[in-house]
Amino acid sequence: MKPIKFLFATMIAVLALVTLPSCSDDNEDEPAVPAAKAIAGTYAGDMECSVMGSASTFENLSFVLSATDDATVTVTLPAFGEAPMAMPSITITGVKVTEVNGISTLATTEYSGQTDSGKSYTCTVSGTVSDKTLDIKFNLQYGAMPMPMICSSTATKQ
Amino acid sequence: MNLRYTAILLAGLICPLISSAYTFRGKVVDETGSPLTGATVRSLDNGRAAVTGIDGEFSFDVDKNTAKIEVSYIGFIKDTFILKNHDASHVELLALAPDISALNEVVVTATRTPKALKDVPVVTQLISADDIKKADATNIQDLLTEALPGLEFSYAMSQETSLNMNGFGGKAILFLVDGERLAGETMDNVDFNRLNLDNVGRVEVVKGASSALYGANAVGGVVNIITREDNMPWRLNVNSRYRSFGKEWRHGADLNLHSGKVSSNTNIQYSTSETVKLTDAFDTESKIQNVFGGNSLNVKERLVFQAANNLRLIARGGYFNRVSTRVNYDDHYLDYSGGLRAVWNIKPEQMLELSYSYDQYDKMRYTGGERTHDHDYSNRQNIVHALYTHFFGKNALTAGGDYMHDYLRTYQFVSGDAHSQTSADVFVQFDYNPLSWLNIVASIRDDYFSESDNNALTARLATMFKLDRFSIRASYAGGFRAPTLKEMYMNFDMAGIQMIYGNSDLKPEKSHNFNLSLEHSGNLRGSLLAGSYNITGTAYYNRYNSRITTTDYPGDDTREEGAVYCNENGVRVYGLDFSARYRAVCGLGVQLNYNYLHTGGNTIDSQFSQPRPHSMTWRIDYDKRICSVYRLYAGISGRYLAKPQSNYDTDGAYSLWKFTLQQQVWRGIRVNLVIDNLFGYKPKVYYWNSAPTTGTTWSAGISLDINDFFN
Repeated sequence: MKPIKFLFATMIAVLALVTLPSCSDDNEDEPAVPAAKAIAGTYAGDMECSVMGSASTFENLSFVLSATDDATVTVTLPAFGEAPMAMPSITITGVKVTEVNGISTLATTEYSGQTDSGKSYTCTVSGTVSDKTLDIKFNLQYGAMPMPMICSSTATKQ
Repeated sequence: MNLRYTAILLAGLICPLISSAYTFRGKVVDETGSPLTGATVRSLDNGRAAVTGIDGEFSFDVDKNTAKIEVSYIGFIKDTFILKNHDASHVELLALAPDISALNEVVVTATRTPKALKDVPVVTQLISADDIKKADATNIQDLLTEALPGLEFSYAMSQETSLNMNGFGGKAILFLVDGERLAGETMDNVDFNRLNLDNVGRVEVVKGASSALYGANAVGGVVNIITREDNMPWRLNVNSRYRSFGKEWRHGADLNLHSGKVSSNTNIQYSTSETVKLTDAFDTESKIQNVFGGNSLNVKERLVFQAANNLRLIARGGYFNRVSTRVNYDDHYLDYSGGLRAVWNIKPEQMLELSYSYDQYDKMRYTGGERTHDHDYSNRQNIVHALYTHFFGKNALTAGGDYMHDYLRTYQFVSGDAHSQTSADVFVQFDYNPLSWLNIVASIRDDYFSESDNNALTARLATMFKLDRFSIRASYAGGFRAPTLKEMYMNFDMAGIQMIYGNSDLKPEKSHNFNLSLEHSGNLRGSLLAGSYNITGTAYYNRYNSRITTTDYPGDDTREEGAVYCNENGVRVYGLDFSARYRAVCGLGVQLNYNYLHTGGNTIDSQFSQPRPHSMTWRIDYDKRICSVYRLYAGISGRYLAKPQSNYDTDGAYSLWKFTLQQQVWRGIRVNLVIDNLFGYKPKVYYWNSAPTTGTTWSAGISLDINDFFN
């Protein structure tokens, strides 16, 4: 049995020697940036919101993604609308980010919190970032509103 | 000697003849095999009669070696049998077919006096305690959905329930418990969660107007839930059920005690469920995304005291507490109710009933465990009734009056103000039976409402012709609905979308309802399919004016634009109800109910309540007692709803199927299994009136009649 074990260990060692330098070669010029930090920034664009099937468009709004660690961002949604349907800015923390082939995905995340004025909200957010373009959608149940607002935007990094 | 010898010889010949009476024994059972106690067995040979004992058995002597007998029992079809085996040890099993038309069942809703169903001149649909048990429904909403075509409950904004019955909205349907109104409202009727079925004896549904007997809201129909009465010394049922949809648990207990002049019924039911997500969070087409969970507690007590042979006093009390868990808050619903009733049989032909009823229904909102006070609502009703009936042979005169004080405080009024209204009415009815085949009932009533200073005069004329096994019923009935305090004084900012204003100049809604029905009952004999059947067809026409709805309000110096309540004329609704039922002695049963509905004019068509032109319910089942402790019930039921007639984007046609298996596995122990939505139907888009289902679900339950353990 010993020769077989030795042979197996040797194969692993050779394989490691072959593969590790090749990884190093790929990132020789540019050190890897964690996915969350790579997409952090402010994105601007128009947003469409639907309430009970009726849609409205809000122009030139800013979405902010801030990295809290290598794989997590905080999403700050913009304030929008006018009184009495004015929505304040909403923050969603703990959104996980994964990156595959240059496309970063914001995992679908449900978050409940309170605004500075004490209004409760529950928001489900999801999105992708690719080529400095954020495609984001969220479902916002704000305060005592009986129905949710379902919004989406395509915004570009500033 | 010759004479003496001849006499002895004759005596010797005659005595054997006299003593040759044959003894026949039998056991009378129902279609499930359960013994029927107190059935009457009459010999058609000599007229002798016997009554079955507690085990359903009887015996009697007949001079012949075959006996022709007739067996009768209330609720079953009278049947004739020929007994041939007179071996003393042999017990002949005689199965009676249930009279599924339940023509001898006593109902009260159609005339406000006890009357056999076969004699009621207005079509009354009776949902028996057995039907309720088989449906395994939690509340009246679940039960009616399954039992009646043409009736649909759907969700509205904030997940309040909206009702449509035969083209009428929920506000036009009157729900009663033992003839008493209920306070509070959710979307357009009472909180149906209050109306659990654990201690319900039967439900009576009268479609069409009945305002001449019940006043406001009895425009499209009356649903009367009658509490079960029990004279057993004691009876205790405990039950529990789990349902996979919403991981719902339901627990209940029902205790009856009866001793001497006092009897008591205590009922408790508690249920809890989780929120069910119907759609993806980003579905912009669906109107409804979640079915919210929560919990509810319902406690009811009813005490009956037989003060004298002709005087009965009934006291009742109730407590209800429901929490609906929404996304950012919890809505709480509370109800306290109580009542006293005296039923005095002054003379055999005279009866007087007096009652007082109190009902308080409150709503409030909590965020993070703190009451917000921005959604406070309280409705309190104090009601006094008087009802006098005088029988003149087969005819009856009924007269009565009601007084109601209605108080409402709601966040939908300016600054959470309160308003109240007093209403009073008198009515009289004559039930005339000039011939055995003819019945005419005429009623007239006047209602007065203080706040709108309106009155409404309504009348009803109903006739019935009986021809052998056919009954023809024809009726005209007026209906009305007075404007509610909310419709008169509302000043509500609906989630910042628009203002809704009340209108104190509103007139009562008025309706005219015409019904014509043909009913045929019969039974099949002498084959495997021996049993009974009932077929009923009803054509109806309703003209509905001054319907209270909302219209655009342009705004003025003091009020911004929005919507305001108004009256609207010209709703026409006509259609057809068809029902066919068959129950075989072998235990097989088939039932089909169909409703055709046509609406015209300014019909009721909101995004929440839309009439469907065709709807159908059906059930095929098998119900049999296999042995003394094991009883099997298996059934497949379903309902079909056609696409609604509507100007809105709306739901399409769909059908839902359900499989029910109920087994009595031992004395007093029943085990239930239900698979709902058998074929996994799931709406592509969830409209307000879509079936709130995510596909196939199941439920399992157990029910223990503890008292049966000792029988």
